[in-house]
Amino acid sequence: MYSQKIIDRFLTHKNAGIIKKANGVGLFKTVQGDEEIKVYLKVENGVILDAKYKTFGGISTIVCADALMDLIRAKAVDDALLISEEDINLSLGGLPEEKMQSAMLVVRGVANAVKDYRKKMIKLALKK
Amino acid sequence: MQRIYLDNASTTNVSSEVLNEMLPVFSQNFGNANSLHSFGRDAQALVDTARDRIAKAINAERGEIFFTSGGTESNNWAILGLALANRNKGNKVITSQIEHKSVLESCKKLEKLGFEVVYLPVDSKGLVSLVDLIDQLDQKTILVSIMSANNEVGTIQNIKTIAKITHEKDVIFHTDAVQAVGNFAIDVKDIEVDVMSMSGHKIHAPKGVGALYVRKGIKIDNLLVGGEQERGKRGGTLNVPAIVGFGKAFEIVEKNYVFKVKKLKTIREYFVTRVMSEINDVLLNGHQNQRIAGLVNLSFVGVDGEALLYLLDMAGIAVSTGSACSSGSEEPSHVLMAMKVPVEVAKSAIRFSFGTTNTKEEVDFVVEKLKENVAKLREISTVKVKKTTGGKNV
Repeated sequence: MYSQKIIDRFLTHKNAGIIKKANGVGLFKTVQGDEEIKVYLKVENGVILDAKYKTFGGISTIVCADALMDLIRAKAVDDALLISEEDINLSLGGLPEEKMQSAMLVVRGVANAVKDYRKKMIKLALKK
Repeated sequence: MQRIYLDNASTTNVSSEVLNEMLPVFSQNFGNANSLHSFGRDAQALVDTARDRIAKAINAERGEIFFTSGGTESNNWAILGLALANRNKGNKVITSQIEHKSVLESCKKLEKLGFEVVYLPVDSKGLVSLVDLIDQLDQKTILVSIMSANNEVGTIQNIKTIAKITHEKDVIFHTDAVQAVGNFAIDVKDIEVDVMSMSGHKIHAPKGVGALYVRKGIKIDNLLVGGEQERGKRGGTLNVPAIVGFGKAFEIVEKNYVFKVKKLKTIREYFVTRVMSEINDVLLNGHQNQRIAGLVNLSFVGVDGEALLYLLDMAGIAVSTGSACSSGSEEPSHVLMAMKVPVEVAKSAIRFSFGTTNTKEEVDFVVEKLKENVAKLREISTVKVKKTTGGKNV
C-alpha cells in the first residue's frame, strides 16, 4: 500500500518532536476527532527557522507532517502557507489516493501555527 | 527473522491432517460430484462424508448442510434468501449494528428492495440488548440475524436466549457462527437456531469453502442459480477438495475443542496480564469474560492502530487493526463505534488472535516489541499518557 520512500519516512520521522521556545503553535483536529496534529514553529523576522510536530495519526499523517516540516523550513511564513497538499504528495513520491486527507490535515496544522505566530506578533507590536 | 502469526481470527493455516485428506482429491478423486459416472460418484461420496462430519459436529441432519464458497456467501444467502422466501409473512428484519459487513450489506440491499431493517444497538461490552430485541419483534418481523461471536472484539452473544425470544414470536433465527465454530460447542438443536453460517478457513480448512445450516422445513430462496447442485438450492460445481478439507477440519474441531479452548485461554490470559501490567493506558475492548478464547482487542491510548500494526509487522508480528479497514478507508471500526468506544480509542485498537501453535516465548517477544513500539509512537503523539511502562493500567 505504501511505497518504500513513505515507509522510510515513517520509520525515521526525523521532524517529530516539539520546539520549546516555539513562537507559533497550531493544533488541528479532524471533525470526527480521530486524528490531530500539533505544529511548532520557530520564526524569526518572518522566516521559519525550525518546524516540528506531534500527531495522533496514522502512517500517512506522520509522513505528511514530516515532509511538510522539511518543505516549510527556511521559508517565509507567507510562502509556507502556499504549500499545498499536492506539494506534499509530490515530495513523498505519491500517497495512496484515499490517504490524501492526511495532507489536508497537516496543511491546516501549519496554517493554525502561522495564525498563532501572527497573533503573537500583533500583540507584541501593540505593546510597543 | 522469526515471524509470529497472531491473526487467526482473520484466517488460519491449513493443518497437515486437513491437507493430507485433501491431496488425493486433486489428482485421483477429481470427478465432478454431479456426474453420473464412477468418478462423479466417488467425488459425491467424499462430499457426503464431509457433510456427515459437519452435521455430526453441530448435531444437524446431513440434508440440512449446504456447501458454499465461505462465510460471506453463507451470510448473503441466509439474509437475502430467507427474507425473500418469507416475504408473504412480513417485511421486517432485525439484526445488530456489529454484524459482519456481509450481513450488513445484505440488509442494506433488502432495504432497497422495500424491507424494513432494524439494526439493534449493543452495550459497551458488545452485547445485544434482549429488551431491545423484544421491543422490536412484531407481527411484521420475519427474520432475526445476530452473530454468535464478534470477529473484532470476540464478545459472545446470548444466542440461546435470543433464539428463544425470536421463536416465541414465530420468527426465523439466523446466526453468523463464522468466528464461533471451533471456539465453543455448537448444538443447533440445543440453541434452536434455524439457519447458521460457517466458514472453513477459520478452522484450518482451506479458503473458499463454507456451509449454511438450514433447518428442515425453513423456506429459503436460492442465491446462486443455474445448477442443480446441493439438492437444487445452490448452483455451482462443488469444490470437492476444499469440502473434504472442511469436513476433516470440523471432525478435528469436534474432538479437540475443549483442549483448544483451554490452551488459547491460557495463552491469551498470559498475554493480557503482561500487557496490562507493563504498558500504561491500555484498554480492553469487548466483554471481559463472555468472549472467544483466543481473541483479544486492545486499545493503546495515544497510538494509531495502523502505525503500530506496521511497526509490529516490521518486527515479524502479524496482527490486525480493530478498524479492519479492508477498503483502506480511514473510518474507525463500526463495531467499536456501536459499542460507544470514543473515536480516538477505537483508532488505537489492535486485534490479537492466537492459535494453538503460539508459544509463551512468542508472547514474551510480542510484549517486548509492543512496549518498544508503543513507547516510540507515544513519544510523537499529541495525546498525553502516563509513563509507557511499569505503571498501573487503565
